[in-house]
Amino acid sequence: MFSFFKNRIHESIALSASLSAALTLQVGWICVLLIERSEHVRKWFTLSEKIGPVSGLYLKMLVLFILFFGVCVLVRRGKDCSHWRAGVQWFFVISLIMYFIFTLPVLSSFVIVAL
Amino acid sequence: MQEIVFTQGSLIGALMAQAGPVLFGTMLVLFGGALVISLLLKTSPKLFHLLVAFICILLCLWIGVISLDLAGASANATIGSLAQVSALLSTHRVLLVPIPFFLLLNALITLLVYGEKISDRHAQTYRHSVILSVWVSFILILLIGFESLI
Repeated sequence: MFSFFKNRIHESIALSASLSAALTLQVGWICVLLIERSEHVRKWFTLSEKIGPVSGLYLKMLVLFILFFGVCVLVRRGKDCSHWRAGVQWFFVISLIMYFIFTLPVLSSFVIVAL
Repeated sequence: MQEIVFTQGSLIGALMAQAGPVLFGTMLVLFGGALVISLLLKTSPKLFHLLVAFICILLCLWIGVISLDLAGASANATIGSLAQVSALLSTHRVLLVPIPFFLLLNALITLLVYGEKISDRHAQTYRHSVILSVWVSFILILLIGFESLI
């Protein structure tokens, strides 16, 4: 019985990791733009005055990743995820590119480190 | 009686004084190994143990580097004609930091789930995901390093 569990691959966990990383990056770049445009959001994200809003951004992204990962694992646990595989990986790649583009200084020109 | 200064001329003392660059350099060295191992996963699946160990160490080092970087954030004042560019790149650098972290975390979870079966045909998508994560993390860390020089 134990060898059965040992040999089984829990694809849903691997898929959840990719999906939650992608979703976290998507939320991340939206938060970056909101921090730039809204003073209220900037204050909400500023946990440390010395570091600036990035302190809240890092912490909230980490919490979001854990939340997304937990929810995805619970929802997809024990189910066949093979038809989601390619779609989620592409979403992951697209999220990566989007986060990179939307955090370029040309688009988000605010200074978050206390200079 | 003359006091003995242990840290004078000490290698460990010098390394501790420049902890950030030392950790960053160690990361780049370890990435060299991780990049090669990620490409060898298909032919040598047993190497996944080594890659997991490398990624765990890389994650710890990355957290250390960022902690040191943020702890000294207020000392990053810039003057002169490049001040604005430097401030923008400094911001961009700080915003890029989460990407390698989440990519390495994704690669670690995927490797832990698949284990030696990462070389199988059905795991091809996930193997590519691991390779992409490790390589993109390396490129971004190099980019972050270059941006911090300006």
